Amino acid sequence: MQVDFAQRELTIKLVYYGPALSGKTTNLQQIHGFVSPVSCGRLMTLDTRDDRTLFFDLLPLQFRSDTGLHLRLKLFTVPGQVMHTATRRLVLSNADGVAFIADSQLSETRNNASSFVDLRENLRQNGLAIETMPVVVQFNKRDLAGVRSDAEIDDLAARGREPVYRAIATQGVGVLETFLGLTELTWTSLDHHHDLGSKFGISAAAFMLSLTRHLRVLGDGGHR
Amino acid sequence: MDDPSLGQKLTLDDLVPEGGLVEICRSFRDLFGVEVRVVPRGQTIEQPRLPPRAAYRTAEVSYDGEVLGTLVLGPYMPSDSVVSLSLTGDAGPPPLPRMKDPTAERLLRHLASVLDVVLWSGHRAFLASRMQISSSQELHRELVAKNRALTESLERVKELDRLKSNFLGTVSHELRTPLTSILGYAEMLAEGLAGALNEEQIEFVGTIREKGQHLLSLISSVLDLSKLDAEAALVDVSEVDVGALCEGVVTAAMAGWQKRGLDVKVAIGQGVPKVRTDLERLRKVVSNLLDNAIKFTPTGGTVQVAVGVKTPPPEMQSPVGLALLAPADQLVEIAVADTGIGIAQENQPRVFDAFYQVDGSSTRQYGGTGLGLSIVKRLIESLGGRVSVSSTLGTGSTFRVELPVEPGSE
Repeated sequence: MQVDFAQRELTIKLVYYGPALSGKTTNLQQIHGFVSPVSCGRLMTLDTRDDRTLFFDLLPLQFRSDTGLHLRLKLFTVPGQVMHTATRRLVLSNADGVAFIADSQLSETRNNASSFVDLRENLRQNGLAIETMPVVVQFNKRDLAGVRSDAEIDDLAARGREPVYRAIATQGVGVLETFLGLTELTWTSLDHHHDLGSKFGISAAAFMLSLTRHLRVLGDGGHR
Repeated sequence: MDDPSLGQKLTLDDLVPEGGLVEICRSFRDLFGVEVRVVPRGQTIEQPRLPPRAAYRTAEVSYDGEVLGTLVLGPYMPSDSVVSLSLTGDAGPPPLPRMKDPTAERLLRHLASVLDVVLWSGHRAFLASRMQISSSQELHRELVAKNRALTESLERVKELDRLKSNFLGTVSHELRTPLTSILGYAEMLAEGLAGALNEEQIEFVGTIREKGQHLLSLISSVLDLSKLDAEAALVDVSEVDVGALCEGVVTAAMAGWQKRGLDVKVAIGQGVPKVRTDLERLRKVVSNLLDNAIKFTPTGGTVQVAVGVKTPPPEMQSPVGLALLAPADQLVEIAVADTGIGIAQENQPRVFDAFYQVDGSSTRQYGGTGLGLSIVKRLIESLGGRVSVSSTLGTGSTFRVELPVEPGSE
C-alpha cells in the first residue's frame, strides 16, 4: 500500500496467484472489460510467444470517491510455471491482498495445493504471513468436465477460512464477485491496521459503493 | 526485497529512451510544419521574443494518473491574424507557420494520443527490463544459497559416510567375527566332530548356539539402527504401490506364519493412490510389523494387513488454505492387526523405545532384541510418516502406519 495524504491518494496492490493455466490472466482481461474505460488503464501483459505469462500482467484501475479519495488499484498476475518462482516472489512483494485462482479439475488438485504452499512460502520470504494476508479463493473452470462438485466446494469453503468463489472466467462468471470480495477484504484489513476509514473519511460500505459504481456491468453470481 | 512494479514514481526518462522524444517531435514538425516540444515536469522553457498574436498550445503529458510533463505546440500564427511585413529589407526571423486554432488543437490532441501509446510501450519495456534484472538477481542469490547448502550437505554426507563405514567395519569385525567362531565351534561340537557328547553336553552346546544366534541377531539390529542414523539423509524416493508391497511381504514370510499355524490376510481398500516414498524402507517397516504380529500371536490366531486411504481429521488441518490443501492432503494407512497377547495401556507409549520389551524379565516367553518397533518408528519418521498402536490386553494389537502420499507437501 502507498499513501499520499497530501494528495488524498491511496494505491493498493492486489495479486492474482495460482498454478499455471488456471485463468489468472483471463480474470484480469474480464475485469478490464467490466470496468469503465475512464477508470481502467490498459491491460499490460508481459508474455512470451507461447501465450503463457512469462513475467506478469498488470491492470491499473483508478477512481475518485465522493469524499475525494483518489484510489488506485494495481492488479497483478504472477507466472504460474514452477520455474518462475523468483518472479512470483518479486510480484508478491508489498502485496495487500491475494486472489488465489484454482483450477476446479480434480486432476489439478495437487497443482493447486503445491501452488498454495508456494504462495505461503513466497509470502514468508517477503516478510508477510498468509495468516494475516487477505486471501480469497476462486475455483475456476466450473464449465469443464471432471471438476470438484459444488457440494464438495461448499463443504471445503465452510470449513476453511478464506471466502471461496466459483467462476467460469472465460465467460466472466464469478470474476467480479472474486474481485469485489478481495477488494472489500483488503480494504477491511488495511482499515483495521491503518485506520483508513477515519483518515480518508470513508466507510467500508461507502468505499465499496464507490467502487461498484465504476464497474460498467455487474457479472453473474458465483459466490458460494 | 526491491519491488520493481510499484515502488516508485515514474519519470519521462524511465519510459522513453534518451533522444526518443526529440525524434518524435522532429518527425512531427517535419510532417506538420510546426514546432513541438515535450517539457519534463519541473523544467521551464525560455520564452522567445515573438510577434504579437503568435500563439502556443499546451497539454499535460500524463501517464497512469501522474503528470510527467507538458506538451507544447507552437509558436504559430493563428490564420485569421494580420501579419506585418518588414519594409526595411531586414530578413528577421523566419515567418511563423499559420494555422487555425482548431487545427492546432487537433494536432495537439493527435500528438498527445501518439505519446500515450509511446509511454505505455515504454512502461511495458521498463517493467520488463526491471523485472528481468530483479529476477536474474533473485535467481543468482537463490543459486548461490542452494550451492552453498548443497556443498555443506555433501560434506556432511561424506563425513557421515566415513564415520558409518568406520563404525560398521569395526563392529562387524570386532563382534561378528568371534561370534561366528563361537557358533561354528559350537556347531562342530554338536555334530560330534570333537568326539561324542553326552546328553547334558549336547543340551549345553544347544544353549550356546541358541544364545549365540540371539546375540548375532541383536548385533544385526544394532547395525540396522546405526545405518539408519547414518543414512537419514539418503532417502531413495520412487512411486510405490503399497498394496503390492504388503502382499509381497506377507508372501515372503509365509513359511514362518504357516509353521506357526496362523492365518495372515491382506486387505487393500478402494482407490489407494501410489505413494512417493522409499520402497526399501517401507518394505522393512511392514516386514518388522508383520514379524512382530506373528511373534506375539498364538497358534490358530489371525493377522490382517489392511491398506487404505484417509484424510487427516479436521482438528489436524489448518483453516488457512484448507479449500486447496485438504483435497491433496491424503494419507495412506497400513494397519497390521493381530489377535495376539496385546499390550497393556500403560506400556503402549514405550513400545517404540529402543531395547524396550514389555516383558523385560530374564525368563520372558518371547525372544527378540526389542529393536524391531524402534526401527519401524525411525524408518517411518524418516519418510515423513508416523506409527501408532492401539491394543487391548489379551485380545490383540493394531499397529497403524500413516504415510503422506506426497512427501514434503507441508
